[in-house]
Amino acid sequence: MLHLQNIRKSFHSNTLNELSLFDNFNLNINEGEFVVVLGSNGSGKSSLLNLIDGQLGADGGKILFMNKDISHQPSFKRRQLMSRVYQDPSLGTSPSLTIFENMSLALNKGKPFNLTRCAQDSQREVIANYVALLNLGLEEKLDVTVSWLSGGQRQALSLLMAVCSQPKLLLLDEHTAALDPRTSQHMMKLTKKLIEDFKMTTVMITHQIKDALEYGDRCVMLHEGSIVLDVSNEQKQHLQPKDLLSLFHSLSL
Amino acid sequence: MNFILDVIIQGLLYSVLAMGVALTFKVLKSADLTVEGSFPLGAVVGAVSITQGTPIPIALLFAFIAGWIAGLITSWLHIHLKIQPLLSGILTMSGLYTINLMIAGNRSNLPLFQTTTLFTRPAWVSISQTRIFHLGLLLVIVLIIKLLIDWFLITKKGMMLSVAGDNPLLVIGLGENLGSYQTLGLSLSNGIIALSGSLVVMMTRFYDLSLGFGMLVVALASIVMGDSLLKSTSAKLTTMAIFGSILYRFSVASALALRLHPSGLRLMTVLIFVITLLFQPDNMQTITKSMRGGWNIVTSSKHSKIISFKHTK
Repeated sequence: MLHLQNIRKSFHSNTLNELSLFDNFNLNINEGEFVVVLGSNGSGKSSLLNLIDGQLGADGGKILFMNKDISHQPSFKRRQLMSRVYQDPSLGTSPSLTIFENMSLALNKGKPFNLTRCAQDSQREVIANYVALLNLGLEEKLDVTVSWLSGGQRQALSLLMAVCSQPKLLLLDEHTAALDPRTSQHMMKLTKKLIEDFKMTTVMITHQIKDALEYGDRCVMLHEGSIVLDVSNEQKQHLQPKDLLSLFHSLSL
Repeated sequence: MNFILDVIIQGLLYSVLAMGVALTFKVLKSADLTVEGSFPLGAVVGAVSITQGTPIPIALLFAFIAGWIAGLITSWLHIHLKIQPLLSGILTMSGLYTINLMIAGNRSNLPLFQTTTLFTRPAWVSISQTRIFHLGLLLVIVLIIKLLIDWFLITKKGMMLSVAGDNPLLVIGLGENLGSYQTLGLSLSNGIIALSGSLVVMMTRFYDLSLGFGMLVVALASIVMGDSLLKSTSAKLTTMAIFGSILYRFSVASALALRLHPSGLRLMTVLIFVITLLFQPDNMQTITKSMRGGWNIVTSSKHSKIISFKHTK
């Protein structure tokens, strides 16, 4: 469903510091796949997501999404069909609005934002049911302003807001990295549950080798803009953390 | 008694300005200097329209549209030419100085003493009732504008305007064009500001080119005063702006009654503003944020290689 074909991308072009990150990069992601992307800093993981959702424009190559060339679409157009959760919990919600208002806006994604009333009382039950999926008791606090929530609660809400409109593609950008180990674990379980409930194709970036092996049905490792490992299903189940670690070390030498 | 009535009348008159500025300052979280040009723009458009016999409601509408266009220009400078928001506002403001002169026929002031304005006392109101008449009329106008803004802010579009000020990245995340919301906010805000300018000129019956000088600080002082007055309540943004505007006019009138020389007013406004802020760290954050240019995302175009995004916290 998502095809990156011959993608080229360099930074600081035409200067001495020119850095060519992607050169003829190819990646195909099938419908329903849950791809975990691993890689050290600077390997191009985040740039990959930025290229997919349009925050970065490619220098060359094509991006096909659901059989459509989206290479030249502006970011906001692409985001109508895809959602992204960032590492920073404050990037996924609107802090001065309530949980209810945030959710109401998120549920409206893909539909016109016109002059009809937002956050109508008739939506209350639906939204409470959605928020209850998080298992954090936030359904009792629908009218609380999001700025009062903790980072973990906000990130859980960001995730829910990203998935509730049932996007075709979900991009997770180290979305548990800013959370404490316990919350982070809860967040990963929640992510898995929501992805299964909503049946979304997912690309997740993580630094947690454990998570990379435990979740997802395909694991891709990036190094300096190229794929050095791409395993799926059964192969992936036989992988051990130490295999990945030794691969990491051999690359950085 | 008349002192209080005058304060309330002045406060209501300028509360429209405060509500307009609040839309950019509190909702879009950006300080827009276009105000200082769009306020006299509305005034001169209103003044010239009524002297040429345009019906008053149409003259007010013209003023609103003129302000709307001023806002469009500022947002175009920012979004398409990628000029800093603060500078975009200054550019429009400076350009409007000439435009305002041109609209007034190269005159820097226009007296309206012979013209019937919105606030001209009709025959059935006696001279002694003029104040009450003004008060009633202003109450109705201000209430209508307030209710319209309140309604707009809870619609889906209006709510997204709040998101654009709160977290610009989320607007894109929800699949909407961030630039069009910034444009909408700036245009609407400047339309209301220009409308306020035309109301002021119809009340004072005298248009002067320098009408807009210092208006941003006056409006901001009103907004922060309203904020500190009503912060513990769940009052709406517009309510705060209205009460803040009245409170500001009260401080000004009191200072004048205590024989402050009128030339000291502007310095006093700045002091009021700074002192109110000292007691309100929250507002200070909003201001530093808006001065840094809170709406700093560049919308992507077809050929842009990199779509830069600067998140300001």
